[in-house]
Amino acid sequence: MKQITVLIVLLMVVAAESNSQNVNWRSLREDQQNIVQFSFGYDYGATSQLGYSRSFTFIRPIVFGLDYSFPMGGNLLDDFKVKVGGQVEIVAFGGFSASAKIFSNFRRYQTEMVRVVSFGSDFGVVAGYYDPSWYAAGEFGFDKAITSQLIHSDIVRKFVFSEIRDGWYVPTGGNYYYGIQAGKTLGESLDLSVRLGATEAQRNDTDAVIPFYFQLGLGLTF
Amino acid sequence: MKNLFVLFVAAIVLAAFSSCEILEPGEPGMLVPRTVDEDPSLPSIFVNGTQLHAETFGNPNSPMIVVLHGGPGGDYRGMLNCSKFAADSFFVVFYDQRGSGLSKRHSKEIYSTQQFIDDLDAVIKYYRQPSQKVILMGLSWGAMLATAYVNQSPGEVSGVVMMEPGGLTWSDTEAYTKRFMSLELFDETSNDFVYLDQIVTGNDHIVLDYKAGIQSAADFAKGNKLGNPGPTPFWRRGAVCSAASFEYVRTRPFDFTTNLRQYTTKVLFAYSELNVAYGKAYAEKVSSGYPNVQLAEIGATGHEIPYFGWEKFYPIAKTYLNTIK
Repeated sequence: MKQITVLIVLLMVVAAESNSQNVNWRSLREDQQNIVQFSFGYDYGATSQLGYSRSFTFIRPIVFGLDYSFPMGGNLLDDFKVKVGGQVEIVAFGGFSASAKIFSNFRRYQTEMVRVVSFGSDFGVVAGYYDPSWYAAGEFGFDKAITSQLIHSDIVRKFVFSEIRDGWYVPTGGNYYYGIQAGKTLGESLDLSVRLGATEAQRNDTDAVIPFYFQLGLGLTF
Repeated sequence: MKNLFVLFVAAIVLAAFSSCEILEPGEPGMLVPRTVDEDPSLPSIFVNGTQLHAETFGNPNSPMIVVLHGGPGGDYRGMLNCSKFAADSFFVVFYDQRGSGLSKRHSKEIYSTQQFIDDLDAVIKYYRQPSQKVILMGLSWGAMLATAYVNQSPGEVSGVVMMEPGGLTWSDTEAYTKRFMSLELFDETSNDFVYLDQIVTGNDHIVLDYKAGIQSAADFAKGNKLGNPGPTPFWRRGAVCSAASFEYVRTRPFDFTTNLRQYTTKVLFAYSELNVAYGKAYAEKVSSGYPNVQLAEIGATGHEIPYFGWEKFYPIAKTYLNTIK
């Protein structure tokens, strides 16, 4: 139990701002445009995440970046997700702010039965109250797996379906997500954040086995 | 030179896209095999308002063994070794249960425990000759279904062979299920199981059955609690059948032991040596619902006894079956 507690505390310390999505628009500074992020949580599996993003202003404040996440397990390289994209603040009124985020996703997934590479998109909106030292916001978005290449193993052909078709399938899935995110700025260059919410599969699709997400994060700006 | 380079790149891109065939996941026959209502070449029977994938082995006048697969949502492909009982003068009947394997699919509202019992009754009546003995042989959920049938119609069954029924009550079954398939945070198999949810979603039988099949890699993953050393053959998972059946019993829990004391015929109850979620103590507990039990441990095998443990299971089962013949 003690080890678990230590692990959780360590993870919270190293954990991070998720998906370049937990942005405190009021703590962005022109002399600290780079953000490195670490996170840990549950996002279709117990996942760790590392990201880099850069903030700048082009008509409106924008944070653009890339992050890499992977689920826990014995093999840390067979499954992962890479997201590239940005978030732009659309509306600012006093402390209140609304932003839109657009990301492109690349996922890889492999088991003994199938190897999948998948391209998709993630569109969302985030709105809430932002203070230079803290923020709290709600988020809503749609994460779509637009096309996925399914390559099946010999196990599938021998033990399940010999005539299964490998190839690019369009589309393969999509999930809405909605939840809250909050953060606290510590000192000059640290941001602690938390993000949690629920997922719901598109249309009448069957929901995920665990239809929730939860991430703790730490962002370092420089 | 520059124009040539642009043309070269454009040609490569064009070639790449033109050779890339776009497939539709919901199209029949691409990711999962067609079912009996989609493929007339498959052997099937029409009973109780549905069409079941079914086949038989042996002399139709010999004592009948009805083989019941696991799940709900599995199929009988992994139990086909049992067809060898035909050489021992038994008439062996296999069928994929409603909504499973290659049998016809239905919407989730149709599934209930009684529906499976009624389907089994209809299959028996479909094949049974007058005064023909009927023996039920079930694996996992199939053994539970066999017991449910015996509990309801003890006079119709001449013998029962069970292989690791999850439980004969819902509370036992639920506890057993949690023992062998709990999700663990840092485990590769657990994360593989849930990670797919962000890539593949669906609401039609094809996509859901395919996804359930891919997720079934957990059944033979390294360190699986069921003790399976590798994959077991199956045709097609019945995802809606499985989910709906579990949903049904969560709100209407079953107890298949209420009438079992009336069934005094000896039953054969087999459990595997390598399924760490089962074991002798649990086998004794579950089988105690029957008044007359022959308990048998099948050595060096896991849960999929008819596939991985056939060599050791067969002589024990044959001896038992010959006492009924």
